[in-house]
Amino acid sequence: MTKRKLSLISHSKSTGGFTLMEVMIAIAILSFIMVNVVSFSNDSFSQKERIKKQDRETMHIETVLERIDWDISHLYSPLYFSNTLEQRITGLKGGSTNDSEIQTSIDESRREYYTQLKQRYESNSRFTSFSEDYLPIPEYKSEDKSSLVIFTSSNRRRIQNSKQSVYSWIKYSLEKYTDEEAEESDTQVETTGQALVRQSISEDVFNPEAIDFSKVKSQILLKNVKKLTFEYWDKKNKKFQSRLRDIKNGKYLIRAVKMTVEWIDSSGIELKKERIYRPLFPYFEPEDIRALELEQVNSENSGDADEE
Amino acid sequence: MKSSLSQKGFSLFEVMLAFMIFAVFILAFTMSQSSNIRSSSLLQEETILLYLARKVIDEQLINPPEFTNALANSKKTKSFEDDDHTNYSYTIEYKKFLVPDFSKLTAQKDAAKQDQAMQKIIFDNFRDNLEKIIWQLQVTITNKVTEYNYTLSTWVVNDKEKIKLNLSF
Repeated sequence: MTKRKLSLISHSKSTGGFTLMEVMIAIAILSFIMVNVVSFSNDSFSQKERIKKQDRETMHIETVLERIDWDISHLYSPLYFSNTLEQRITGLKGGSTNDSEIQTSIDESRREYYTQLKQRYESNSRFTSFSEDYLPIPEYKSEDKSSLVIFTSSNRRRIQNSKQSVYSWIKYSLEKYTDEEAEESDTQVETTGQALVRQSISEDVFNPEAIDFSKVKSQILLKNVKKLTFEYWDKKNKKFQSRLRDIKNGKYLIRAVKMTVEWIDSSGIELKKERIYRPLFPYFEPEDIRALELEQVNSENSGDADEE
Repeated sequence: MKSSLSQKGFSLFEVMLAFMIFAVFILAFTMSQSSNIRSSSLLQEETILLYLARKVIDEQLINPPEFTNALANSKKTKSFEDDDHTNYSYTIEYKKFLVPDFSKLTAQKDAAKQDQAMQKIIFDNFRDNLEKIIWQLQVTITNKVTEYNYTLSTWVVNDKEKIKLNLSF
């Protein structure tokens, strides 16, 4: 110790160097700190990589969910703002209506048009009914729990003046896929599995023939999906139903869709997301309009009598 | 260093000092890495909070409660029941939509002026109807452990209410 002190204080005189002891201590301290620093920085590097990957996957699933949101929020049907012809006339009469009653209640000039339309829509497999303004009403289809066919106005043309319209038929479903370029590094990722796919038809949407989605190119949104379910809001019973036909008017009018998706991410963890999608159209109940019209007719009738 | 003459190495003190400076640099570097990680985990947390907030607000919007006076200014706090989100709680708050008086908006105390009387009647009709039909909804999601929270608010339409016009002088 005295020697070290001496060496610190009087450099010029000392003939130099450290003692072995000093060097040993220095190396010990240095290596101790070095080990800590290296392990710390190593940890933070590997964690950074992991988080970068995680962030990418979070971004991915968010994009997928937003894509579906965009389509379902733009659902289109004339029933979001008007009534069916049958319902309107039934409402005015206050009872059930048959075809001849509808015919007598509409304008004479329109009668032939009505019969023609009715025949046309009966053989149409995409639009099976029409509204009071004679607008075609699309029929939503859900063959099983994990598939949904909708008619939306979410399409945007990429080329000006092309045949595409804002309307399109879109199908969401599960489909088997095989990765052609299997990634060697990620052994955990299976190369085959089910994927959430989106198919869209934006040309010739009003064609009366049934849509053949098997010919449409499918776009893979999410791979390794274990389970996908669509449920539909039933306003009357205040709960989600898994089948459209269980809801009154369900195949023509979707109020809200709940989608649940379960998938396995790249690190083998099973994840689950659940989201409710609502159409953008403000809430409108055709039956309310029917009641209102009935009220107006009644008040007009009684108003005539009450007039002083 | 011409050490051949003085035969002098570094002192322990000098070496330690040099190493200290080196360590400070390393530390600064790794700190910047870990701040990246922290902001990323914060983002993850925010994603979960937003996801839950949207879920609650969507449930409220498709199935709104009955709009009564008791609902105004009511606050309801509950915890999530599903296993993944037991650490989170949500607060649903309803408030009435309030529109200021006509005199406040025009900044004139004497609204009874002849040219403004008509405007006032029209405005009052608008206000009364808006206040009945539009409600405010606020959803707050809180992580019970970290106390991070996220708030989402919207307007809800009371579809049971009808527009009433009262245009008598």
